[in-house]
Amino acid sequence: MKRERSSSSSELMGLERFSGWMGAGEEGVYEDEDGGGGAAGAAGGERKRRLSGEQVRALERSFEEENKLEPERKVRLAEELGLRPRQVAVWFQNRRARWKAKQLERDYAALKSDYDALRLSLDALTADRKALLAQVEELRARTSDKEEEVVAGDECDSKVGLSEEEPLLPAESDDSAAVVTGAGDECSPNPRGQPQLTGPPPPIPSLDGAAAADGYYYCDGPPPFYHRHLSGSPPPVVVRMVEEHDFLSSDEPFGGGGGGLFTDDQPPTLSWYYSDQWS
Amino acid sequence: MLEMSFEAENKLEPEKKSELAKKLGLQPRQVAIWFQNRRARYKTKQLERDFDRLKSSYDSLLADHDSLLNDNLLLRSQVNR
Repeated sequence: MKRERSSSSSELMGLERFSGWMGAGEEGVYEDEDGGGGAAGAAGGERKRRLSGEQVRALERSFEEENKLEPERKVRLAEELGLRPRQVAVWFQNRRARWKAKQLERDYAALKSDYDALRLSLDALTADRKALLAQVEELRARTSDKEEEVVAGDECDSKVGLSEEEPLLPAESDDSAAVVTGAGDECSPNPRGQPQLTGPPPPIPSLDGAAAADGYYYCDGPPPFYHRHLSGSPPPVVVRMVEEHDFLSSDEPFGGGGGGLFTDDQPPTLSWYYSDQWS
Repeated sequence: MLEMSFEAENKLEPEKKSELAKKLGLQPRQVAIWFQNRRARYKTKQLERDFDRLKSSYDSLLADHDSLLNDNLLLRSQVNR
């Protein structure tokens, strides 16, 4: 008896999910496909009847309003629909499980989309960084060239040399004006505005003027669909039902799991999930 | 015993089904249904795991991204001076 009940309830749960979850009709299927209870489950045919479309619709409506079932609602629904209270309870149980799974699927898709966007953004940032480092390097090199000239030549010559050496300085820039004027006013090897070699980077105005072509997001990061989508708490399924924590190091976020779908740089795909044929 | 069989191969060959049914004193149909359900449970768990992994990768990617963003701003300000 006990085994029968557990197998029949697992049948119910499994078949509920089986038929309803992936987008096919959301019917409360109680029996296995051939319709026969027999030795596979219930003692009598009565206990294994498929729910009618109308019953299912009524249950769905009730579920929309409130997905948890209080005793009074359960009894009321059971009476209204000509079902046993236990059937209603089980239907709700299964329906919640289906809902959570769907929700998780949605969350996953949103997160994946955020992830991909973020990845693109990071790539753009990396390119920018490279360009910026090159700029810095170039500017430093140019500065040290200038300084050598300043030190090596006559003071006055070097000043002339300075203004000739920096044709790229926009005349209207304050910094460049300071450098030129500084050089003009003081006959010293280190005119105002011209830092020491080991000091801070030279006050050279921006060569490109504006920011580089930014393909990335500045302050808030990419608009995360997943985080917007949430109302604050993580999906309940994740919080409650995670049984295995198989987190890997951040070097290899998706190592090895799940049928060899994952390489280092790719987020997990659900191809096993979507393409699998439900038998 | 069913779990062990499932670990080995989560799809059920007809011969395997009869064999298990016999050994366990169940109807073959029952064994088939058990496997069906077990696959469904497994898929949910798998989805959860995938989700958690993705989440943790996302968080680490975000950290890298933000730090790079800051670095670049710093560099840019250096260049602009």
